[in-house]
Amino acid sequence: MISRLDEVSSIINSGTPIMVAGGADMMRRLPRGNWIGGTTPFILGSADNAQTRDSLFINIMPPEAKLKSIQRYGMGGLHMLPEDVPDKGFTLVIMPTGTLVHQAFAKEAPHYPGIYSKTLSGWVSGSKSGHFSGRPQVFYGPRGHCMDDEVVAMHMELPENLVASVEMINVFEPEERPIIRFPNDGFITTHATIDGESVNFAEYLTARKANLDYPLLADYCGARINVSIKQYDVASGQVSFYGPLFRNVDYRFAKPVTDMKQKLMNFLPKDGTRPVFSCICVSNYMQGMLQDFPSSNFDGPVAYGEIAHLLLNQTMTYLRIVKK
Amino acid sequence: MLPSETDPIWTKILNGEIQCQFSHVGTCMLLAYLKRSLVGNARQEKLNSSIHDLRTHLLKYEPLLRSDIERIFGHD
Repeated sequence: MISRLDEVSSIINSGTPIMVAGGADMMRRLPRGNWIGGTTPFILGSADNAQTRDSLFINIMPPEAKLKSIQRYGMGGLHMLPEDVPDKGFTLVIMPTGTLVHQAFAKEAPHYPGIYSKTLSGWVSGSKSGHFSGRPQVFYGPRGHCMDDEVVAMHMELPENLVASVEMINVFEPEERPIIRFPNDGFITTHATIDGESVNFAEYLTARKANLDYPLLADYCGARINVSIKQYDVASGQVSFYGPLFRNVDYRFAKPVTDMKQKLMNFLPKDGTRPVFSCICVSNYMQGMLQDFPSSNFDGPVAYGEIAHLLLNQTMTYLRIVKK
Repeated sequence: MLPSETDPIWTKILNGEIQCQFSHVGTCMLLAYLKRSLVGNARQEKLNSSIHDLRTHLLKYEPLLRSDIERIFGHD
């Protein structure tokens, strides 16, 4: 929910753990306490510019969840993050976009032991290009530290009768053909096989006049996972991506989405689900012109990457708690 | 109720003989990861640890996966 600075400060002073999103200047004025924060220019469900207004978006942690710890992880300690996620509970993380920790998490998280069975949710912070507030930042509330090269995490424990789960909404659907495969894991490729035929992928995308608004999709045993194309360059022959590619996985181009807003509305749960936290990708937000998306239980920061166990692209993700 | 780790259904799931889809994204990711990691590495030890990881995961998320579990294991 959107709250004024004095309201957010009051909640922090009460000891209640919260996640905060908005402008860095506002977050610098918050008292120390049980909170983590990240910068974003946009909030889904609020038309104002989050980096210039005099309010912040917050998610209050549910009363049945108990704060275990709030931690920060730099490059040297990032591998410790999944170990710290409670077996019974969840962890909310925020990491700044375009940083070494962001790239390291994207690349290494799929191989972290236990990453798929622990509930890790969160978002990648960002800032509006050219905005005076500068680089994407995260905040470590216990000391009021503002950082642009670390991950902040709030570890929460749940009682035995509850289980936390991260969910993903992907409005993109794959085309039937072609089937694309890559020779190596990684964020950059030169070659791909298109329906079994080896090609320079940058040349192929150029000939196809590929629209970078739409990701590649892979089917992970029923989950459609996007990998967004960052850029392609025929001169170097390279194509780079916002998420990691894996060999031995079939990828397909996404079909164009003409009504992002309506599709998103259709996918939102209709059972009254009130997520602990949700976020949506900035690419979907801009493409779908979601500035006037109606306020709902799924309001939240517009993210430069969504975290649902792994780093995801061009999705909406949310964290919910379910009774066993 | 999930079958024990020695039940052959786990091997069939992991080698793709039985195609499974789940409604929980973490489960989908785990199964895809385990299947990928077994390609070109079909040692029994690796298979056993993958079966253990998958079964432990399904036990944890059973409240969210009841219909999937019933569909996949219910009539085996």
